[in-house]
Amino acid sequence: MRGRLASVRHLLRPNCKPNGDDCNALSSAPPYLLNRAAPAPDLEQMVTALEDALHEWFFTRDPKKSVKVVVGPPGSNVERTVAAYGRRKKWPVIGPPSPGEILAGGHAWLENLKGDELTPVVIPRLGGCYLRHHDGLAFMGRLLDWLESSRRRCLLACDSWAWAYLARVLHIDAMLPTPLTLAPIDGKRLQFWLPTLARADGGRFVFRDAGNGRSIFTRAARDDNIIWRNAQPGFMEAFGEWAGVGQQIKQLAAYSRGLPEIAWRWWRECLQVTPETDNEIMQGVRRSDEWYTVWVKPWSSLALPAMPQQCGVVETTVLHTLLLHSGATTKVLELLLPFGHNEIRHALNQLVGARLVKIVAGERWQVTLFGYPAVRQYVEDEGFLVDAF
Amino acid sequence: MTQIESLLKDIREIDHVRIAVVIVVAWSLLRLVRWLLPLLADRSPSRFRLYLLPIAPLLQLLIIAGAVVTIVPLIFEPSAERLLVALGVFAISLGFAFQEYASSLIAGVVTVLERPYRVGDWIQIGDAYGEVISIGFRTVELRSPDDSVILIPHKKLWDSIISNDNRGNREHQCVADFYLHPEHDAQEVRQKLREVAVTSPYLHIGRPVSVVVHEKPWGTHYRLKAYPIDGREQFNFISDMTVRGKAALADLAVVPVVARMSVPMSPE
Repeated sequence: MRGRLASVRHLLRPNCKPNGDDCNALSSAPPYLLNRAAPAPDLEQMVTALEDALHEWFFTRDPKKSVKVVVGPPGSNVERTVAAYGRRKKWPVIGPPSPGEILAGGHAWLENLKGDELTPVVIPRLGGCYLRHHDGLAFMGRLLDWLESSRRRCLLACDSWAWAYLARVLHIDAMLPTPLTLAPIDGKRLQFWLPTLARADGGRFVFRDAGNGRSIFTRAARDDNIIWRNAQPGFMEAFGEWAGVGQQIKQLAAYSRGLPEIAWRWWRECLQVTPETDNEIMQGVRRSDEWYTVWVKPWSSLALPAMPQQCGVVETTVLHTLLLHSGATTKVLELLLPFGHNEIRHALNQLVGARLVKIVAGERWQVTLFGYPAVRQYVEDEGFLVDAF
Repeated sequence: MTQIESLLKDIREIDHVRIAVVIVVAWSLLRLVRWLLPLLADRSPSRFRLYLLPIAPLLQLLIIAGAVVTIVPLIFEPSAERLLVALGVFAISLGFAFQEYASSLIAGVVTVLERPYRVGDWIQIGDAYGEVISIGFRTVELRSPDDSVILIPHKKLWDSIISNDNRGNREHQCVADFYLHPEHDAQEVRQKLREVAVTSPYLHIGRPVSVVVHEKPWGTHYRLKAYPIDGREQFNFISDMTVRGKAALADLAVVPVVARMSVPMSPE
């Protein structure tokens, strides 16, 4: 009761701006606080939703329906979800062949697929099974032929950019069934999802707009139990309609293009604390029923990524290639692009400087999720092929 | 007083300052248009470039027309009779002294209004081929593939065939030619050349790709036709298709045809 009263009191406190000095002293929330106020989303819910969607397919005996495809853009976590689902079912989860194997024909990899017909197989990165190279499409063509004719049940996940390219070049959309995809996360769903994340481990955070002090979310703790008990498709949207969606959340949803991981990352970017709150949380001095205030930077004050000034054909083509292949090493970029090593490295350095590209595992370049909305808009404006999301 | 003298206002009544201001303003506006529109076209997304650039000649025409309409009443006594006299004098002058210039000028106005070509188009007039970078009132400026600027009088419009590759669109068809020894699998080569085109990073994937095959007495001529995203990259696109096409055909062990060169015999 006390906790609930405290939470209502916190939410009802109007226009509670940080004190004058605190305003200037607001700093970005440190990692340990971010991991409590906005922890990484759990894939389990997505895996469960996928399981529900595939329930009928799981029991099908119709050989014409043996293949199921899930397509999603960067930031939708579709590939990880499908892989997790496959592991949960204890089915073989097969990663894509290496670029060298693709160019050489990938025969050994294809033979590996022709295993026990009774056990479904999962390919969580179908988009990794081709290269935009004149020798890089034949393997995908043979794989699609096998998928069309095989009786073995196959669950495939494909990045939306690879899907868009392969649909034009190899008509993959005609050869495989209509794919499943995730619904976009709009303002109403974000209104529900973000505070749920903050309370996942019993965290007690109130999020306030640093510009005007108003509470970002109107949901009180007393609603949590009702929400959890009634969580089902359509409920989040109904709750959002009832609770209303603030401008900040609407802008976040729109900028993120409905992609949950992008919204989550930008949400974390917005969070700030006063030095006092930071110390108190770190030292655990407050009682367990006290709520911590986290300040949310106004959207207008965020430094959104933009294309570098000197963005020419090389930079644009490198970005587009990275999107089509969900990332690539320097060697693969040199293979796929008509530019020299130095030109490609110079372009990558520019893009890293603009936070549009990062390097993963020391060798693979990828478009950052932070920069993805800006990059997508840019390549679309330049007339390059884009995905449907 | 002669008829011509009666056309003009008394020189003491002519507002020279106002005329000078109009000229300066018109000149400044012309310079602004010539500087601003290409800058905007460069800074905007590429898909807007060929909408912005063609506006320049139209704006220039309007500015000059506006300046003339403003200045003429300041110099000439306005009346229908006097205007007819002025036009008569003007026509005779044009007929004898400036007919070539006038022909180009009139062709320039027709070009701006009819738009057989516009800024950003790749055109061929006679032996000259290049991108239209500016349409003046007397000449059109082309930038050739070798980065030379070619000035062509608009009067060429009356009696030359003008070939326009893109007609206001960003992309236009590019062709890479391959000449092969006749002993090969044509179906395989055709398929491979198509893959060469569809895997080019310059390709506009929404436009068709085709491979046209002609059998010749000396071998087989393949024409790989595709569209780049941006016509300014046409030469890079053709080079990319050619380089990768050669590599792909070499992997298929297809032999190209080599042209025999005739070497002139020495007098001995």
